[in-house]
Amino acid sequence: MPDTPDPELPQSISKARRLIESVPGASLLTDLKWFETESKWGFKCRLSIGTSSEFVPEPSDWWVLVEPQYPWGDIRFYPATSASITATFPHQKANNREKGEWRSGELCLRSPLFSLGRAAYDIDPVGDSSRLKWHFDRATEWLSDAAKGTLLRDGDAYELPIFPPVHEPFVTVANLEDESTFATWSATDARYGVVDLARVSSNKKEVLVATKFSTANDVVLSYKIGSWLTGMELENETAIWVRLDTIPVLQPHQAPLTWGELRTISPELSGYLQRAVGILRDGKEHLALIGFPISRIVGQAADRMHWQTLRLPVLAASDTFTPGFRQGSAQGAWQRDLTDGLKSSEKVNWQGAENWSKQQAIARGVFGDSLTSQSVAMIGAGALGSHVANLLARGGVDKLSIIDDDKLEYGNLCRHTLGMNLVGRSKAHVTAVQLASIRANVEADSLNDSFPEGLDAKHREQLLGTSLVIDCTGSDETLQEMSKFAWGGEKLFCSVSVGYYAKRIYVYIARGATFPFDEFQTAVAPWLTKDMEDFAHLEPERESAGCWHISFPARVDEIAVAASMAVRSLEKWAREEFAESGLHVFEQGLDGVVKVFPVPSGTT
Amino acid sequence: MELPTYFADFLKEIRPTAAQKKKMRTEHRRLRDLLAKDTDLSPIIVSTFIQGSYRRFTGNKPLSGSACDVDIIAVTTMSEQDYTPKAALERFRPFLKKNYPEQYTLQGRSWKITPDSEISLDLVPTSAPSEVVRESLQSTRASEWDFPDEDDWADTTVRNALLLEAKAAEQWKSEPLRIPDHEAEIWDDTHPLEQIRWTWQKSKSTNAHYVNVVKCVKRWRQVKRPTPKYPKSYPLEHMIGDCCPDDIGSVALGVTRAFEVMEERYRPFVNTKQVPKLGDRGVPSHDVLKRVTVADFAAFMGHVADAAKLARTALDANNVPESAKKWRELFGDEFPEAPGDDGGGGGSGGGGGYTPRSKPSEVSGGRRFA
Repeated sequence: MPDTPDPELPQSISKARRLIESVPGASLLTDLKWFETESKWGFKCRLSIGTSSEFVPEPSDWWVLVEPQYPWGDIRFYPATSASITATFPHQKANNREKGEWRSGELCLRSPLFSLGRAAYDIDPVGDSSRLKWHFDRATEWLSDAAKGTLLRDGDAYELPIFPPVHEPFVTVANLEDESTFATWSATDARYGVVDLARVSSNKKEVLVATKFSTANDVVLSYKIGSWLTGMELENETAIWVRLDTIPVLQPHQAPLTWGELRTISPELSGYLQRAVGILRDGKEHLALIGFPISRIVGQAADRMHWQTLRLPVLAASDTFTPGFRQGSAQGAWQRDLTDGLKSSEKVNWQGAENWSKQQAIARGVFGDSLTSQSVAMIGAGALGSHVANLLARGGVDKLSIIDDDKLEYGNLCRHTLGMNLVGRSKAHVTAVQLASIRANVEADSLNDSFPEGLDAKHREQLLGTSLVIDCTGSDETLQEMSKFAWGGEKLFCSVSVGYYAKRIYVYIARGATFPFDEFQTAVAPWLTKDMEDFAHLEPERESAGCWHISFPARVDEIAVAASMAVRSLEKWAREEFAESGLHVFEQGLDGVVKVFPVPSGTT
Repeated sequence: MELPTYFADFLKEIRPTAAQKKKMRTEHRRLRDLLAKDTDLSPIIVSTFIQGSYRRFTGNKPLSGSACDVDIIAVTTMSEQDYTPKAALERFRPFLKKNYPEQYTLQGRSWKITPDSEISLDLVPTSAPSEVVRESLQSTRASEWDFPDEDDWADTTVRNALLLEAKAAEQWKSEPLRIPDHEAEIWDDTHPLEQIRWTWQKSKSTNAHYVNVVKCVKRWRQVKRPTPKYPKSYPLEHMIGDCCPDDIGSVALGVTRAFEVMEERYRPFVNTKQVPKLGDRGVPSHDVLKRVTVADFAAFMGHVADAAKLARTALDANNVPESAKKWRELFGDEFPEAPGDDGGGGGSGGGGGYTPRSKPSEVSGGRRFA
């Protein structure tokens, strides 16, 4: 294959790597190289924290990968294949594989949970030239905590280890466990049986919901489910469950990867599993749910069952002949399994598992012509975007294009306008479908990709044809791209976002050839600072056990109010009641919504 | 602080550019090829090779407006019995007149050829060496030099070339090459390969930092302290070679110690109004500082004393902005700037031990969500 020349090293990255000099104990080992397969620049460094432990050598070597658009884009820290960590820790991807010069265990540095008293909103300063230093600081803190075993501390949200799958197909099974079902499990002796799984969606990445756990004689637990799931088809392949007393996890924080490791760490598993699989000897693969108690908060007593999914290999037929055993005996078949599909060196084919127990409960007249005649492009179909889009569509806008590269998750539904049946689908697509279902003459299309990298010629053409572009991503990166994009003429631009608890609502409207990013940043900066001062002391919202990602605190009603204020501002703007481009800031509270900027004339 | 990434970027900045290297390669090859094709000269030329600072990896890119200087030796079969130094040089005039009209001047020991304003070739002919030397010259492939970066120490071709030359240099220890000095009317000894070999040896014993130390100090001289005119170039390199300690861990340390040791070692000469005699690597009877007057040497050493103090302050500074500022004061604007308020202010580099942060990194404002 012919060698393509390396791209030119951006000055910003060359300069940023010099920040390593300000990190005590850090030194550069291999200077910047271009990695074509990653499309990133990478350098190798050595970190020294002054202490070592069983799983953490001192010093340790790391590869840092940076995207060419630094200080935007991704920054990733990977352990080097030699002289670094080989185990998997909390706040880290599974570190079990070698990928060239580094291992797969990328550090999750954006989670704030392991530093600074756990409470501060310590945010990755994306777009700031010193961003790499923030990552270095976090990496050394991570390493120090890893050496001391304090990546998860008492009071933190518990994070399950990653149970990596081996091969396609990949299935996720959701459960509805909570504190009350935990009480049921605590009171029973039942250890294994059959579990009913209901289908949720019909697309390729299957999502199933566990609905009922039975033994040969009894129903142990049947979740309270609504009419929608009740009417759903059940998955017809038999699935089993096995209940353990403790989580099967190896130090420091890794899931057992082979059947040998799993049996060693959970000796009681074999006994239960042997009896549970008797009904599965039909020459097909079956799912198994391995249950164990976890606590939502580290250091506290367990308060919930977690069911970890795995896909069993095809097991020996029940009439298998195994030397030393009577033909057709259960023990004989099991012995065959232990030397075949479940042998010690065989990798466990873990699958996805989620908890869906938290449920939440989830507007009229027509807007003026000058707004409803706009053809709208919306970038970002998250909570706020979906509300704005819904209000616009319900209020009379007929043409909408929705752009988002994300998938809908169950956890989004408490604030989004869509439903359970669409989880796992492209947000852009399903939002567009929903909008189309509102009125007969709504034309809604979608782009399930990122702006602007994902635009093909057809979508680009479409975007050029819109008249109102609305950003609902909450991301500076999007606005920066909107300021550089060639829109092909004058457009009405709008950016809508909210601050913490959606107390402040930022609506920025401008008419022009591109989005005025610099003016926007200047205008919004003092408000963000005020917002930070008001709320920096509060604790971040905890999600269910899983890799933590920032979930901002705001309720559906607060989001809806924000969406409402945005739409009203747009309507006024479209009627040309604002003299010039600008930021409008509203504050909402129990007493209503007040415009705080620009201050309405006649008020003090 | 040692700031290795800053020095890496400084050295990258003062390296000849890709365009300049291309030009040096092209012009050198052209001269070599023209000589090989010349019916008059090609029978008497054994081989040509590059010498000088680019060959030793100790050359910087020229100051803006100046030309790259490439030094070329043409080993010939002219015997000293048959040719006076002047005659040997004049032997090249017809060739130069034909191939480089209006572009050549005779200097004391060489022809200076300037094909354009960006490059000058310094062509030095030698008298006939012994059979032994002639043979080993042909086998060393010393003529193949492509102006690689010093990063290419690892490159096999470069390494092999250096190994062969080291052997050749050993063989020639007793037989330096002879070049014409027509102003003094004598044939003089020269041993460029020994200089090259010495440099390579010194580089090995300084963890490969030596050539970079030389380049930094030479740049300091060129940019920040250009007067007095002498000592500079090879004599300056020679002094650094004598004074830069072995087994250094960084360019920063090498630069600082080189200045400090020069000050220690040569200050007594200044005090007694003398100039030290430093024997050339390959030809110990030659004093590299022959051309330097007492007054110039004293003025130069004045700069060295100041530089030693400034370098020490830069090295001993315990935070990045302060250290980078001092290095920049020493070397000028080609040395990278320290960052602004962000990113600066770490603890002393190296040595492990980390101090937890007590508050979040400075972030401009809060977050927006959607």
